[in-house]
Amino acid sequence: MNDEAIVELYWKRDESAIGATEEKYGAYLMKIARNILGSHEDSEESINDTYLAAWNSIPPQKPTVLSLYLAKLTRRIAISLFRQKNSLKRRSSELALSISEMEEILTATETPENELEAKLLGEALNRFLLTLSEEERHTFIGRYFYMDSVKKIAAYCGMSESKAKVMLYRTRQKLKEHLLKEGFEL
Amino acid sequence: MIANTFFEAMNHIDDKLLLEVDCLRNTPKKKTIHAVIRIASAAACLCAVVGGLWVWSRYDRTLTVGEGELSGDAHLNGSNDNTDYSHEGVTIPPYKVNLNPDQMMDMLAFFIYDGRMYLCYERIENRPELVGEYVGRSTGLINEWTEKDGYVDYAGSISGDFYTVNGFDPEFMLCMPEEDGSVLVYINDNDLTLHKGADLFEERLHLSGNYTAVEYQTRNEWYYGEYGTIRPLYNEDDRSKGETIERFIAALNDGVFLYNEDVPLDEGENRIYDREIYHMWFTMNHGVTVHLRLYKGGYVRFDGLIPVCVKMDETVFNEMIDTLE
Repeated sequence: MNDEAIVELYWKRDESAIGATEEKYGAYLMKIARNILGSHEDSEESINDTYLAAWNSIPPQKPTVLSLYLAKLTRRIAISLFRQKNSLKRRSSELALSISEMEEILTATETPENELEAKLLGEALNRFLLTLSEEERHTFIGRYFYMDSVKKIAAYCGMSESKAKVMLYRTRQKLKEHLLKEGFEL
Repeated sequence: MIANTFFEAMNHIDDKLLLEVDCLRNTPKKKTIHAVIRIASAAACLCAVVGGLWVWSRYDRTLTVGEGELSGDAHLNGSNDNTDYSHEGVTIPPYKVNLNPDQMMDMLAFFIYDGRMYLCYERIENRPELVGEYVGRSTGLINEWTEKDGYVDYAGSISGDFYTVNGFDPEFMLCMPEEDGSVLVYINDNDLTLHKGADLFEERLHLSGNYTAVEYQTRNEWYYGEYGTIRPLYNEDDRSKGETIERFIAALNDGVFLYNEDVPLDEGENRIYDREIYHMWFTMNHGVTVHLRLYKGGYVRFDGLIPVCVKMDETVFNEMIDTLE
């Protein structure tokens, strides 16, 4: 079933929308959740919450790219679940590793956060990503949006793991400079 | 700002940028497409700058054609319309690393086993039955700074256990299962001798009668990553082009191999890629995809073997082109 038809089912409040979503995107979402949470059970929980969130948000939302819409929901829910259930120090997952990497350039101190700050940062990130080469952009998004392991990123980008690591390190340094230039306090 | 805010902010990234990576990581064909752009670029660069940092022997080799020998340089400079297609076959010799610190090249995912270099060809999802017997483990320790003596068996640019692929000759194909259940397929593209198309498409890839779907895309659509333009040619719902495809495969099997450098080029063309017109993908019932590149004049290349292509019957080739058009 194509995405448009699935979204249409949500709009008609037809519960088969969830089954169609699961059939088409279940495995895809599971990968993202597992990258973040590590645990299969927690991942399943976050995927179920994703279906519920999709049901509650469509309508009024009418996503044009359903896969990404669901990926973002899963990502947000899984990260939230990760925070609830685990201390970062005790849990091994790609999210824990990714956070640890980003703490090299951002502070680990808890400060009040809000959606606006994330949105402004998101806009800055979009500008930053457009300054990168395609290869740098792919490795960066693979690592920090999809939370893929460096090994997996290296495979789908056609490079060695060591090259991917070096590239990610350099990109993080570039990001730090970019954000400072844009006036963010790191 | 805390790192967690950053991860929330990543949700605000432009969908177009996310889709680029989504295509790379989730659809085997699309991932292969990107990998192949890299491979094609690397091959082209290597042909142009014989002696780069990552140069295997096939690019600075002595080419064996039939009974005689021709130097690589001679081939690069000496293409013409009088290629003898009745020769005894082409031999892609064993790899030989030639390091030159003044040149930089991108690395490909590969590992070395039994003296052969296996290059990453594609990622296949949900086909655990493809994975056969355990063969060994690649160290993944090769990088841009590895010395020549580091290119030994079990070394590679990617780490992981590798296995035989059920139904395929391990001298030609091995695989590396991933944690997420997908399987990376690696193809040995060196130390091979190929005569007719059937040596590859039947003996090694088992193409005839084993495909379940065929899709295609124009060169430009492929090159510019227009994934939405991949069109079906044959599948379980529409088998109307089945006979045309069978004739194409039969002619492909009867075709003879030659080195890419031997393909006669027209004025204004510098390399075989300038003659590329279509890409075709045969999805096989065992999960492997056979990706073909079609070049003007009846030349067809399997994307897992970079240095060589098949010259097939031009009438049958043109029949397929007409069908695609």
